Amino acid sequence: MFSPVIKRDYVLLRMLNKIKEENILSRMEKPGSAHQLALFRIILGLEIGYVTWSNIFRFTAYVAVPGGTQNIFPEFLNQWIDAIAVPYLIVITQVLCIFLVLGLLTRVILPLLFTSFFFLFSWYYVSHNAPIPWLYIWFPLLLLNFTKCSDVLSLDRIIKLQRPLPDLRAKDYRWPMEVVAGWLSYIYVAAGLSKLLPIYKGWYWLQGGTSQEIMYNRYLDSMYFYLFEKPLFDYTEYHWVFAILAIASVMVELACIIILFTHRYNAAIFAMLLGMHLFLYLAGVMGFLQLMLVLSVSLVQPAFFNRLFKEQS
Amino acid sequence: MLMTILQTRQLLYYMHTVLLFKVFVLVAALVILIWIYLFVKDFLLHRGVFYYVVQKFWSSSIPGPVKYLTALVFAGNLVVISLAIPRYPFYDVGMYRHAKDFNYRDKICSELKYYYWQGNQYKIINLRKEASFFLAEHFGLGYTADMAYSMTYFHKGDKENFEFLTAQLKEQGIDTLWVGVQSVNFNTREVTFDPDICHAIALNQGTDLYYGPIYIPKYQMERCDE
Repeated sequence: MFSPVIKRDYVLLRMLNKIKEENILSRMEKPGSAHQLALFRIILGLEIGYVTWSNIFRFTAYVAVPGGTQNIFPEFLNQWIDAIAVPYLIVITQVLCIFLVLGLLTRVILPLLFTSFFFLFSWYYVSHNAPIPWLYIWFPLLLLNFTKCSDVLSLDRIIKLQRPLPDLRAKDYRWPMEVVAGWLSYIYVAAGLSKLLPIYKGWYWLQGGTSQEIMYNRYLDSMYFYLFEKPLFDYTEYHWVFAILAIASVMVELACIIILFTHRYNAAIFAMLLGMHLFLYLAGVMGFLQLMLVLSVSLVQPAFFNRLFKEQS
Repeated sequence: MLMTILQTRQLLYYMHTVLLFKVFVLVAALVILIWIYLFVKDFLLHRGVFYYVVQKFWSSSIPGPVKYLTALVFAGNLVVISLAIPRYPFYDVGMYRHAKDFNYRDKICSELKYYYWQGNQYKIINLRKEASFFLAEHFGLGYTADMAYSMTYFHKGDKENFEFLTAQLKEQGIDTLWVGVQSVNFNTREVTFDPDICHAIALNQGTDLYYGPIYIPKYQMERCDE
């Protein structure tokens, strides 16, 4: 029989070894899936198409109220984008995202698409202070520039512009998905931290006033109202419900840091994020659910796609 | 601790006026200095988590440019998260960071919404509903969630917002929009809509409206004055 101290040390050591084997940096060196990466390319392209085909640009140009937000670009560049480039950037982004989805001339269009997307949404960001979903996809789009994302499920493959690696499970297909998983982790952990920091404000936030305020004020504009027509309960009472919701949301967001250490809990993390976003969708905070779904492709194990598409070494 | 200090906008003022905060800052500064010392020492001795992460990252099979870009993006985001000051494309994901107190509120929550008459029936324009592909009644794809959000809240007081909306609806044969009052009584869980244009004008002058007053067209004001 081992003493409790030895037993504890043994458990800790095993845990550390597992983290060493399963952390995001180690996972990048493991087999990937060409189809997973290609699927991510297609879904990301569809999301970019969805946000770029929005009338929001026409609307933003019409209302033209500065959002009080800033970017890192010099003023002359912002002025050039605002005065000249926007109409062209919209069309360029729309056309190129079709190319991305189809996987046509991918290597050529990706740098152009990234540039147009980056500048177009920069303009929107500084002219319009609103929920900004594209802040969460610019880096994955940049990343695709350096990947072999059109090796399969693409016109490049059909017309032989792109030849896949002999091994469709090569690690070249793995690291991009792991970096995207890291990106997803950053988004949620940062969201959790922003609610808790500075520390003296975090306690206040966890009491649920913000959640209650949102649910109270947005009830008549929420999907829950549109679907069910009556509030679930009296939103002016039961403060503890909102405190629980606030604590739960922060816990779910901070739990995403686990993705960096191990992939074992990806399914649970995905389920929690989906639950949170579905709830938020009903409560009147829409627009982030689909982004979560796009980025969550990275949480799926490549082995799943290996089996699904019968990828062989 | 460091982020708390960095995110306190009037640091010196609070240090001078709140003793507890002063103690916190001094203790935090000490802890941060000790941590930096241990951190650097470990790194120089090639041990510790940070050293492991750095060497593992730089020796990984990721292409060189991606390593530099990832490091740059990580650093940029870390700075904006630490300072809580976003600069596109770096973002602190802090759109719901502001803590609010929910004190006693009226059981009846009212909101001003545009509506139009179709025969003898009023039809309410639920702008956020339009962002749902399955529930939309007037707009289709192209009317995204961010657009619905902007029109419902951010720009609701702008004349341009109203003009944009009416221009879109005119294409569907809806030419005159009015503003009415939709209310939910959280006590009885009942939702009602009052198409009285004068009631809407009166309510719009109140101060407790979510995202401020809505734009009410001139013809509604004139009709009410009659």
